[in-house]
Amino acid sequence: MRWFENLKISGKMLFVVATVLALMGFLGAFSVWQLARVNDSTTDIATNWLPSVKILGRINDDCGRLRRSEFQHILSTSKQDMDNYAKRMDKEQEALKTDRAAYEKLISSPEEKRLYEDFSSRWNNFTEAHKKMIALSGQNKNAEALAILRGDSAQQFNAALEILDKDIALNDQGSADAYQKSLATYKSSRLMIMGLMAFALCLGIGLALAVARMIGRALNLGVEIADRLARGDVSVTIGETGKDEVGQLLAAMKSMAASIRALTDDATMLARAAVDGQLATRADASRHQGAYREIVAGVNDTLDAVIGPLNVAAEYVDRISKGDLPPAITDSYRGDFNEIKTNVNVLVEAIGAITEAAKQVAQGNLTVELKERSANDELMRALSSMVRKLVEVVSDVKHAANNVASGSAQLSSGAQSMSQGASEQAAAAEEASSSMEQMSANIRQNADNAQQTEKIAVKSAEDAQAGGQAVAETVQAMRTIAAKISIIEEIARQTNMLALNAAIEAARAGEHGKGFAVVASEVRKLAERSQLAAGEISELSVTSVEVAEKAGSMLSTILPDIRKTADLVQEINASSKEQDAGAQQINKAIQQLDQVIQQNASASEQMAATAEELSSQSTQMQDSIAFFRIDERFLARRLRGAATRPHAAAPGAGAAKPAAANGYGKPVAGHELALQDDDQDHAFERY
Amino acid sequence: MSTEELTGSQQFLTFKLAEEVFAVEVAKVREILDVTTITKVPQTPEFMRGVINLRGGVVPVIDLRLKLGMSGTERTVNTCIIVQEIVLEDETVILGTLADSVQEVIDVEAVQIEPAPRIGTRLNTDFLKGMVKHNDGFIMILDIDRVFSAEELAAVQGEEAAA
Repeated sequence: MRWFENLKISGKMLFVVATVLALMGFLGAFSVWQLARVNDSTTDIATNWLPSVKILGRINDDCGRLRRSEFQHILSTSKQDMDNYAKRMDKEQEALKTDRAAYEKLISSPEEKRLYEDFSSRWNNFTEAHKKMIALSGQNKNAEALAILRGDSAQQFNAALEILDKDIALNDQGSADAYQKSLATYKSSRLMIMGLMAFALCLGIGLALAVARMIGRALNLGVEIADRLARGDVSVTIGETGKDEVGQLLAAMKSMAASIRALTDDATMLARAAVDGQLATRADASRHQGAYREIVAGVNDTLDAVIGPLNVAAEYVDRISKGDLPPAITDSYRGDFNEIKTNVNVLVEAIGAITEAAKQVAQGNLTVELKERSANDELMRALSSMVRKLVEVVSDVKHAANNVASGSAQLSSGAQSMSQGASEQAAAAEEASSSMEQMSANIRQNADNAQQTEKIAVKSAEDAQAGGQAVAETVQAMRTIAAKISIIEEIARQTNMLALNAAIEAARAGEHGKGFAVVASEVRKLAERSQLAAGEISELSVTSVEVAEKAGSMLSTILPDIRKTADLVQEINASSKEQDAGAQQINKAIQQLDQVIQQNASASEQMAATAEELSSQSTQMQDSIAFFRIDERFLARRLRGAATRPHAAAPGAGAAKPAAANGYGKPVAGHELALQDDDQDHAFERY
Repeated sequence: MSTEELTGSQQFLTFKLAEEVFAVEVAKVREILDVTTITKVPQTPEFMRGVINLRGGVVPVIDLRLKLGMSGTERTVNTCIIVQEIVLEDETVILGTLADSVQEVIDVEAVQIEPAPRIGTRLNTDFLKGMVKHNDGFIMILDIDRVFSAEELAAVQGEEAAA
């Protein structure tokens, strides 16, 4: 199929059309051939078999008529009739001869010919017998004629007719055979033509589709590649291409994509190099053709034009950055490059000025003037600020050196007095230590006492509880007594009433009841007395119950108090122990304090020596700082500003005078201790 | 008996109403009872406290304090009922009176009895036979027959009969 793909599109089209046309031609030829076969058979039937049958039928008729005429001849008696029939027989013989001649032309097969010869011989025999018979009949010898007629003549005649029938049947058969043959030919040829037509149709459609698909696919690929190239996608890959027009188009696109890729590669390379600062990089223009070559060459030329002035500028900036100040650039450049040149020259000049100013400062001259060259001149502003700060620092240092000198003298005397104070502190600390020892002993004794108190309190609590119980029992007993007494009271009351009733009875009895009345009166008095006594007891018991209940309630209120007391005493005991430990710690701390104070004493002596050293060093510093020349008015201004601050030392110090000796012999200014409450006091716990 | 008449000695039962001590003749008293259940009878005067069952008999009980114009008797452990015989138009009526407490049976000489004063007490002295000095105070002797008017007692009687 490769050769087919490589065919040109017109060739492919021609191939397809030629194939279809060839199939059509073949189909036509085949159809014509088959039609001819059918036609042959039909012609055979029409020209051979059917005329044969017709003529043979006529011969048969002729024979029959002749025979009938024979009979008529024999039967006839008159001479006229005999002649008529003889004439008819001659005519009939003549017709038979004509028909036989026509038939002989139509004999087509050996079989037919053989049958006809048989007939001819038979018929000849019959004709001879006929002639004899006619001759006899003409002589009116009818018997002999009839014998012949019924004998030999009839035999021959029948045989001839039989053969004739066979011949007719043969021809009839031949006609039927030819028809059958024609029918078979028609059927087979119809099948074959239909098959061929189907094959031709399929082949034609298949070829057309294949060609259309082949061309369409290649064209689609071409369109897609062109589209991608148009969108800037040069990463197209095209495989093997055919040799037809579409294949050639793809091949051309392939080479186009390669050219564009090469151009974009070079452009990307140059751009990347330029971005990386490698301006010496160049692309090979000879690799490209036509307009692409012009583009690459143009980019190369542009880079050449940029790099020269840039190299000069870079060299100058490099030298300036290393501190080597080059002379001004004298070459002339065009356009923006000339501006770069001018700016570099201005830079060289400016750095020269700055260098000059720095040299002045290095020589200690702080009075140099540094003007800003523009609003954004950070360097000059910074330098100016640096010099200004330097002036401030120098003046401050001078001032500080003076202060240090006076301060160190103060420090020296202060250290001495501190040393003295430290020894006093040590003595006081020892005293405090002994006091603390005594206090510690007292605290321990307190702790012991508290412990004993606690035991007693616990005991008291138990006793109070027991007392409470006893009181409760007493109250219960008293209540029982009161109840019992009320019974006695009731008895006394009833006794009283009985006695009264008895007295009434006695009184009503008159004189007889007199004695009984006395007894009743006595009983009543006794009852009254016992009632009175019971009432008193009851009253007493009620009072006792009240008292006992009061005692019980008092005991029960005492009980928790005693317990609380025990608890409190226990807490006091614990606190005392803590106090004891605290006192020991305080004692230890005081001893440590004592050591520290002694160390302080020695340290303050060392400090005095150090202060002396500091004094001499400050003098040295004053000498050193004198190297810098500054505006004296500025120093005076600074000092005036400083004098307004708190803790300003040496108010009488002159502006220019070295103040080394100032401050000696002045009273020691100690630090004022403020013992008022301040924030830090809250950090301590109060006891 | 002769001695009695000579000396004019009489026996009295003393009892207390409020703080005052009163006395009635023992001969009038039948007995002294503890206060039992008193059945209040409707449609009777306020001083009529009701009736009690005394050994099967119905005895009306009078609040003597109310009758004598004092406040009503408060019932205490010492409160008791003095059952008396009152003669009313020659008919003896059995009547219980409430007393705050009974005291004793005393002998009083007739000479000791002094007439009741006309003024000085809250009581209508028509009801008093007289007063006797006893210990430091006075005992007022009630004429119990005269304490109740005939109508009142008749009313009580009627009640009793109705009861």
